[in-house]
Formats: sequence, C-alpha cells, structure tokens
Amino acid sequence: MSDYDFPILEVLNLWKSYNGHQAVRGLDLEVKKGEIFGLLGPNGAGKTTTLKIIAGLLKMDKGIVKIDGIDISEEPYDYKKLIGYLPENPTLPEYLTAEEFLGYVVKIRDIPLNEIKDRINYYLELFDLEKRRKDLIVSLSRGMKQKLALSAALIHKPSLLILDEPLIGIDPTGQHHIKIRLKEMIKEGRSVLVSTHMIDTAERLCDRVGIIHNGRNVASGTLEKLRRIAEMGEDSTLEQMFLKLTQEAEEVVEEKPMRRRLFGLFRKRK
Amino acid sequence: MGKIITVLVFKIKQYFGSLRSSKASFFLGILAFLSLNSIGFLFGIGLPDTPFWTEPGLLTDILSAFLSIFLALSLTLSLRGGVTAFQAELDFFFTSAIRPRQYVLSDLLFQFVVLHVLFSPFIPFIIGLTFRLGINLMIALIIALVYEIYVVLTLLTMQSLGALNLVAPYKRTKILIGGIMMALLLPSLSFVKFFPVKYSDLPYPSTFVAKAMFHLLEQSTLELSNIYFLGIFVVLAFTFHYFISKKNLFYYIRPTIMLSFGESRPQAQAIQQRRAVETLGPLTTFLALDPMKGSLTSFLIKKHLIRMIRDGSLFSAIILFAIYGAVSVITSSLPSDTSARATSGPLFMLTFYSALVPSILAISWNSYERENLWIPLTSGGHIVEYFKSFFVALLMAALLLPWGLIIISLPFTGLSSLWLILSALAIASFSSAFAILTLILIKMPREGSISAGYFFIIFLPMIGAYAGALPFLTMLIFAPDYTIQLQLLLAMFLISYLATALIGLLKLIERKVKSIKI
Repeated sequence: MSDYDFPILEVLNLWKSYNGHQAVRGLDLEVKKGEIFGLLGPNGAGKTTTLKIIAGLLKMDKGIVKIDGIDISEEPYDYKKLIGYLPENPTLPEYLTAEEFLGYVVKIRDIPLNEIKDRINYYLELFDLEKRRKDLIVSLSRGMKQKLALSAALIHKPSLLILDEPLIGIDPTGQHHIKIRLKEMIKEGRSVLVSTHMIDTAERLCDRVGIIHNGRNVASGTLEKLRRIAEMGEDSTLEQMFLKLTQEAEEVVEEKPMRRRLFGLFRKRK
Repeated sequence: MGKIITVLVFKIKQYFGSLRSSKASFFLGILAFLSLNSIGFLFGIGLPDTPFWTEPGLLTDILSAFLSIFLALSLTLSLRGGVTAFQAELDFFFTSAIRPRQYVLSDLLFQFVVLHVLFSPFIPFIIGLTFRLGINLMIALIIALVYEIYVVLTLLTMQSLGALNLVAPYKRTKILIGGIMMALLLPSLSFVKFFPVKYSDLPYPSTFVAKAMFHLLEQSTLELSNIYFLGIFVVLAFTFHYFISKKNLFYYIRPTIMLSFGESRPQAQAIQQRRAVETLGPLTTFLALDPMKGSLTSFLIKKHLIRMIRDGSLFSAIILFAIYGAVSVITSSLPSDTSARATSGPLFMLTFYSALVPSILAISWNSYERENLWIPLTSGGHIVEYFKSFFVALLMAALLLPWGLIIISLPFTGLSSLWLILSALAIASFSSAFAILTLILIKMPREGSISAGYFFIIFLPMIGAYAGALPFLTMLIFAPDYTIQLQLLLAMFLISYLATALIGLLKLIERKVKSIKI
C-alpha cells in the first residue's frame, strides 16, 4: 500500500439537522492523500453543510471527522492547521487592501516571519493580483476577489484544501489557472475536496467523485467504479450516472414512507 | 395629485414595511417611536425647572442653533441628491409616466412623515411644555405651525440644492452646499467664545423662528416681522424648488435607501459598507497593516481599528462625541456656578459617550464583520486573540477622545481629573466587555426586520457599564470631600476591583467564544 492510498480525510456516519430538517444523514466519506475528490450533488443535497462541518464552522450532531488521524472534536486547533477553506460565497474584509488581507491571513495562520513576504508575493503574482495589491478589496472585481480568497486558502500550504463551488463567477482563464494550481497541489502530495454541481468540472478535474443526495453519499469512486455501481456502459457520462444514481436514491427514500404506512396499517388491524 | 399620493403610500409602506413582518417587530417599532418621542416630551416638561428658563436670550440662541444644525445636517443629504429613493422606485416609477416634480413632491411629503415619526422631538417637546405651563392651546398650535413651516423650508432647501447637485455635479455646487453648511454651523462656536457673532444676531431663518416662538411664549402674540422674514425665505426656497424640479431628475437619481426602518439585510448592508469604504477607505490607506511588525494581538488591534476607520463607524463615534461635547459646553456656559454642575457636564458626556461607543461599534461589527469570521474560525486557535484584541480596540475608541479632553482640561480640574480618568476607564472597559459578550452570546439576525438583538446590543453594554462602574461614579461625586491620601487609597482599591472584574469577564469571553456562530 503506497502512501497515497492512505486517507487524509475520514468522515464516518455524519449527521446534522437544522430546525427539524435533516440536512446530513449518516454520510461516510474518504479523501486519499494526493487526490482531488469531488462532492457532486443537486442543490440542497447537503454539500455545503458537509463542507462547513469538515471546515470546523458547524458543529455536527453525530459522527467522526478526522484529518490525518486528528479528530476535529478532540483537537480542533491542530486539525484546523491542516485545512484551507474557500466558502461558496467568500465574504472578505473589503476595507483591507489585497496585500493587507493576505497579511492578515498569514499572521493568523502563524506563518514564520521570514516567509511572510515571499508567500504574499508568490500568490499575488500567481493569481495576477500583483498590480492591484495596494487596492482596497472593495474595488476588485468578483473574479479577483475569488482568486484572493483562494490565495488565502492556499497560502499556509494546507494538507487538505476544501473548496465549495470554487469556479463560480470566475472567467474561463481564471478557471484554467485554478485548475492548473490544484493539479500542482496534488503533485506536492496534498489533497483537495471540492464541492460542485457542475458535472463537467467534476468529470475533468476530479480523480474520484462522491455523489451526495438527500444528505447521503449515494455512491463514490472513480468514473469506472461509478459506472459499475450504476450498471451503465463504458460510453456513459458522469451526467447520466449522476441522474440514474440520484433518481434511484430518490425512489429508495420514497419507498420508506410507503412501507411505514403499510406496517402501520397492519398494526392497526391487530 | 393621485400619483403623488400613490408614490407617497408606496414609500411609506416600503420604509416601514418591515414592522409588519411580525407582531414582535410591530411592538418593537412602537416602542422605538415612543422612546424617541418621549425624550422631547420629557424635555418639554422639565425645561421650566432648569436654569435655562431664566435666560430667554440664551434659550433663543440654543433653539436657533438647534434648528440651524438640523438644516445643516439635512444638507448632507443634498450631497447625495436630496431625494430618498429605493431601488424599486427606480425600476417602476422612473420608467412610468410620472413627472419628476410629482415624484419630488411625494418624496418631500415622505421625508416630512419620516421626520415626524422618527427624528423630530420638537412637537412632543411643545406638547410637554404646553402640559407643564398650561399654555393656551391656540398659542401652542401656532408655535407648532411655525416649526412646521421651518421643517418645510428645510426640506425644500435640501431637495433643491440636492437637485442642483444632480443636474450640475460640479465642484462649485459642492462648494456652495458646503459653504451654506459652514455658515449654519460656525455660529455654534459662539457658545465657547470662539466666534464673535451669536445666532440671535444673524438674519437666519432659524433665528426668526426661535424669536417668533419665544415671543409667542412670553407675550402670547405673534411678532409679524419675524414671520415676514421667515416668509421671504420660504418663498425663495419654493421658487428655487419649482424651477429645479422641472428638470428630468430621473436620469440622475440613484438609490439612497437600502434598508427600511429596523430592517437588517446583509446584501443591503454590504452595499452600504462598500459605499462607506469606497468613500473613506482610500483616504486612510496610509495606515497600512503590516504583518511583519508586532505581535499577533497588536496586529489584530490595528486591524480592528483600521476597520472602524475605513468603514466610517469610528467617524460616527466622533460625531457623537462632538454632539455630547456641544451639550457639555452649553451646560457649562450657564451662569449658575454650583460645583455639582462643574462635574455634571463632563460626567454626562463621559458616561454616555464611553458607554455608548462600544455598542455603536459592536453593531457595525455585527453588520459588516461577523460574516468575515470564517477566516479566523477556520485558521486554528486564534479566535480568542481575535476577540481580546477587539476588546482593546473598542476600549481605545471609547477612551481616546474623553481622555484627551480630560488631559487638556487637567490644569483647571486638578485631582478630580483622576476620578474622571478612572470613571471613563471603568465605563469603557465594562461597556466593551459586555458588548463583546452580547455579540458572542446573542446571534442577531443578519436578515429580517427590527430585532430584539439590537436592543440588547445597545442596552446590555450600557447597563453593564453603569453597574460595573458605579463605585467610580460614586467617587466622582463624593471624592472631592475626602483627603488626598484617602482618595489615592480608594483609587488603588477600585483599580484592583476593575482589574479583577475585567479578568473575570475576559475569561468568560474566552470560554464562550468557542461556540460563537457566524
């Protein structure tokens, strides 16, 4: 077993409800070292809730979440040192300049003093923000803000990068740069967990995909494995597999109340 | 007329609509209305018992100053067009067959209504005064009418200059508006002898109104010369308004109202903050945040202060200080010279300012900065440092100006300054700590209508500040009777009490912050 087969992230039997609505129902998930894992699901499937729990922003009702063996419930601070997080709609302190914002992030992330300048400069150049470094974030375009937020998620070289719909609002060139940067991260032995509802993104970018529906992981694996699970041919696309698997999951969910109704009927007759 | 009423009703429903979202919102709205208006009423009841009442000249000056400042502040809206518009109005009314003048008139009526519901303590003041003195009802009505004429004059001037600024957005227009504001505000310096001319000596509309009112109060007759001069101003303003409102202002008006009364909506707040940062931020980028310098705590303190400066919330606090400063100066300019009054002015200013500023800054933090908490929350164990540094930043903002003022006045106040300094420190410390605790423990809705959370964030820090600082405030009043040695001993004892209380509060913050919700 190579080093890359070990899971960097383990999520076991995760449950979370809000105001009586069960958002996540016993979800299991595993991201291996050096892979990009895509969390694919329709709106309201529970992707963002799952990512927020993994990022330490939401408290789970039940379950286990570990990164590199460190449990979020037991050692939350050591755990968070290993992650970088990019929310779906990142809100940034718009009163800071781009450079000041990255300075704030490196300071709060305990980056050694002698590395601070190099890291800030590197990411500003990498995402073409060099010329705007002294500008207030409020004056940057949406795409620039997204790139700045991604820089903040990457700047401390996390073991696991958690991205919630990272390509929304970014122009094609920007998307291309981000994809290249993510592939580079993988080469460095780090991992990415990305949530998306864009099937083509998942198909092109991810090594493995987990299909999440109604708070459950319906199926996960490489494209070939998903084809086997969905019992579809080699020429089937991820979109077709996704539709079939989520439809099947829907049917399973709908069956349950029917069974309950029937059993209830028998009980009454007794 | 039909269209004017339609637009007016829409604007009123839009502005006060959030109060209809729930019974609690409606109740809180009524409470806000009553508490805002009761200030004027109580002032009217109590005024005849104050030393002001025996100084009609000073009272005329104060009332004229109040009315002139009201006009000057209204003109700040002229710099943004003088018309209040919601985005929906731009989309629906501006694309309809309504004429600009009809729209502007409906807006004038809308501003008149809002002003009387929320920002006008004068009518309740007249009612209070009528109750207290048993003034003839007709006289009271005429006084109220004179005041209403001044309000209409203010709105006409504000809208006309705003429209001029829209159709001719040149420097000279802004200089004209700025010049009028300066002319209206400068005589207020006469209260501290920094300006040679008093309001009562100037031919300002506010002076004519103030003189007419006091003449009515004293002699129950209307002095026609004052009304005549006021009428000239009204005719001039109306003529200017008539011509300027002919222009097609719809090309230039931009939405100015993002939030209804008591409404909380992150998107709108974000737009407001963006505007504030766009206006003020570039002026302050010389204050750079350098990660290479200082510890994490000092870095975070500077970051919090930069936020307060760049989004303008500290500026609001400074304006508040100026208002309390003016009240303090007017109070101390009274002829009566008891020692109680010598301390009551600064005490009033200190307690209100130092207790209120952390609440104001905590509200702005909740609106603009809570959503940015994902950065420290996903970064490891520095969320505690984040809030401790926020506490220090609040303390600095609440203390800087009062301490500055106390230190400047040190040669005149002697040892009593020690108690002023300590009282300010205690009030600001308790208020800052309670403001942060409230932010952590009560998650105020970022979306929706007026919420009890805002009442908590205003009142809990103030109650905490007064309760915690009570021993210091007591000493501020009674210490002058004690010997210097005893005063120093008591000061040391109370400093130990403050330090112990603060350590306890900071520990509580440290414990509770781990469960904070974004």
